[in-house]
Amino acid sequence: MSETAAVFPAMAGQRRLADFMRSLRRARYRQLMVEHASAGLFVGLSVAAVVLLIARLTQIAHGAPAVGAPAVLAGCVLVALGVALAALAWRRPEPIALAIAADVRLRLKQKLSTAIEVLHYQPEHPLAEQLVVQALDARLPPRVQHVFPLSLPIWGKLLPLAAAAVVFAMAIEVTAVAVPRPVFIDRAVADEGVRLRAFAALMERRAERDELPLSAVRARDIHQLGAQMAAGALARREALSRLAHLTEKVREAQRTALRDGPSTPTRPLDVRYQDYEDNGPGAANIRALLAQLAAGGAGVDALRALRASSAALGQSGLTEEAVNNALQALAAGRPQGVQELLRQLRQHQQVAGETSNLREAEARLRRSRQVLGGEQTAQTVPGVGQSGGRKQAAGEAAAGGMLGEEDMAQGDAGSFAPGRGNAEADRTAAAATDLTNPGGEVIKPEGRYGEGQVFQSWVRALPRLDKPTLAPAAVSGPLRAQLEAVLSKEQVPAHRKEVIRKYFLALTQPNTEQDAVRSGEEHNPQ
Amino acid sequence: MNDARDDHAFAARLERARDSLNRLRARIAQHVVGHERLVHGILMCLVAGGHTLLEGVPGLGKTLIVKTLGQALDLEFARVQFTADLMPADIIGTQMVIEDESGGRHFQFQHGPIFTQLLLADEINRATPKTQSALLEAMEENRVTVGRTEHRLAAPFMVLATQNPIEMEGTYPLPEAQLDRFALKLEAAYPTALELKRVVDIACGAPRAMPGPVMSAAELLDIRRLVRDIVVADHVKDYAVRLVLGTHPATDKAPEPLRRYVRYGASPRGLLAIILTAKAMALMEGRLNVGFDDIAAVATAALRHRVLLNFEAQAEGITPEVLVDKLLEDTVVQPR
Repeated sequence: MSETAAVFPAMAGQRRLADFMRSLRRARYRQLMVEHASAGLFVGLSVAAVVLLIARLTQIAHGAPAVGAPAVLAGCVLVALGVALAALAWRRPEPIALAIAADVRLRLKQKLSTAIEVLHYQPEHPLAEQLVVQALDARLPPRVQHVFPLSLPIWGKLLPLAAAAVVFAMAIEVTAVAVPRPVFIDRAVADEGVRLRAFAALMERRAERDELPLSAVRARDIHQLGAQMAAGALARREALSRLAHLTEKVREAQRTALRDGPSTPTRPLDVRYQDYEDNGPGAANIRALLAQLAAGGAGVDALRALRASSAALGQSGLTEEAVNNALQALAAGRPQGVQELLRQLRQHQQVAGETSNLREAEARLRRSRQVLGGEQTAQTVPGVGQSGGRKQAAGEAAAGGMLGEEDMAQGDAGSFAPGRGNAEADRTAAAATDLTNPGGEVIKPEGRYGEGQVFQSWVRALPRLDKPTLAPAAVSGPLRAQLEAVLSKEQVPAHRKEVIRKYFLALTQPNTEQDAVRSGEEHNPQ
Repeated sequence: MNDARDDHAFAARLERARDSLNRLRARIAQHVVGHERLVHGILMCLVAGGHTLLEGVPGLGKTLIVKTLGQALDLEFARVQFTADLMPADIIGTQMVIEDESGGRHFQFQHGPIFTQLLLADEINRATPKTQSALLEAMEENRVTVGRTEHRLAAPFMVLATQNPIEMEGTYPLPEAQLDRFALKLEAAYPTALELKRVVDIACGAPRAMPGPVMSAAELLDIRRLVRDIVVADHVKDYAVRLVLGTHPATDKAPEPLRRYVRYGASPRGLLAIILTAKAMALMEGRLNVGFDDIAAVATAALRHRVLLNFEAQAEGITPEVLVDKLLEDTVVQPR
């Protein structure tokens, strides 16, 4: 009986010790959870504050789209908390470590940790049971909360600071902080902002109507900049800097549109899309004829008219041969060729629309810079003042401050004359007028360059879908000689050379009838 | 059930040992005023099986403590006053020509005072290193080799040496090997005014008769075996190891002052001294295990004579105690 009594207390002692260790582990887990959650929350809030602040500053400085603050906050905090709690799973507290910590906190002279170590690693030790009894006889507290107390670590104490940073990043008007507001609102900047905003609104509507994604994006940028300028949030220098930046972005968008546009064998040189985007004897008529043919409603006259407009075909990006082949196939009962021609025409129209819109936007931005005195010398912008863009702009100029009637009159003279702005800009523009022709490209050389017209523009020869085979190069000299040189150098099929030659010669020797028609359309946009 | 019986037997032995040691302490306290820590250290060394070096100015009662201990224990006690002309043979013994009854003569080994159980080596630093080294083998291996003959010493065997730190004229500082043989180096503190008055009462009053011993050799040996059974957990051992390694200036565990002022750190024998005396301390407090506090409590006494200072430390008056205290301060009990 006494022997049994001697054994059972020891077993009960082990159970008591195990219970105590379990409660220790729970207390430690709670403590670790508070520590990790505090750290995770602090890191999450801090990162969210930094991200929000950067996003808002970027939004102000570069017109980046606005960021949803609640989404950013929730994302950062959830990710940080998740990582912190996942790290907790890896920090599994060992029993011996718990016992050592309890010994130190409770001043048990390592009775508990020694008993736990012996039980774990040397259960057959002759003093194992004695050590358990000794540990239990020590002052083991019934509640172990004060061994691992729940207290906020340093991260937890810093939480209000991080929360305040988040609130600051969300609530404070960063514009007021980031951009020094001028003491006096620059009226010229504000007026130009109003005009830019109106222009952007029109451009945006046009881009949505014609499904032009690049133009739509840039229109929003211009709108945002215009709004800030109109609100007086930008000083003149800041506005000029932003205008220059945006001009470069618009130019890049033009290059993107041209690069990604369809490649046709009839676009060997610097073919501007708006040149064959026009109506009249050009693309629209061909489009209508092809549509009639595809629908099976065209007669012999339509076919004849189509074959007769070979020049217009070339301008529309179609070869005469392709049209003939399509027509022969249609006669044989296969309309796919005609449908393909229609698809190509639509692509050309879209690219033409993009380039036209973006070119106008570039001109508008340059003009704003001139008005604000940021552009000391007028620069020619390819295509501006030409029929396509000008004609489209004419209907919108009154509201958008684009190329108004006055501008158009000056544009006919071949310049970007500022309709509004300071005197210096006017003088600069006037100087530019002497050097540019209505096309905006031809300059009259003086002195050692000799007489005669000189072309100076960027060329693009035989483009492929991925990249041009010929790098852009400056072309100068009489066009015919230049044209012949290019034709002899490039691998152009013999039967196409004549088409190309006709096309470019037609550009240099404008048809008086066509000019008259265009001029009439410009003054009567409808 | 056998285990349970063993447990109870062990507990009973532990209790008896505590009683015996308490009686011994009380007996010493009857004749020695104050010096509780010194006596406690000596008793720890006694039950741990180590030797003790006592250091203090003359007249503090070092010799009295040892003599009292010798009388309280039922052990053979011998005292050797170390002087400059003391020879090793004076301690160990020598071969003497003995004439037997038939007139024949032969050499016979005459045992020296070292053949005892409790040896008081008074003012050990007054003897030459040659004589001091006569104790080396006896202290470490409990035997004496004379010529080609080994002579076992009686068990238990303990050396208690004293030295005077101020009268350095004509002394020979103990060599490192000799110092390392002492488990603890204890310092005798100057008594307080109250203690001095009690000293006067005892020393100047009627002489007291010393009662019989309170602990036999067999009891002491049993307690020494019991000490070996005290459990030292791994993390406690780890703490002691880190302390000893911390005395070595070349290791990264050493605090900056020790790297700067220490020439050589403690030997592994120092670690054994720490663990054994800490075990003894735990036993004297009735515990079955050694704690961090036990290690820290004996560390200074076990390391102060094993940490050899460099010239810079001596020039700046740095003592080993300061450095060991710094080591204890910088060594955390449980590294993260």
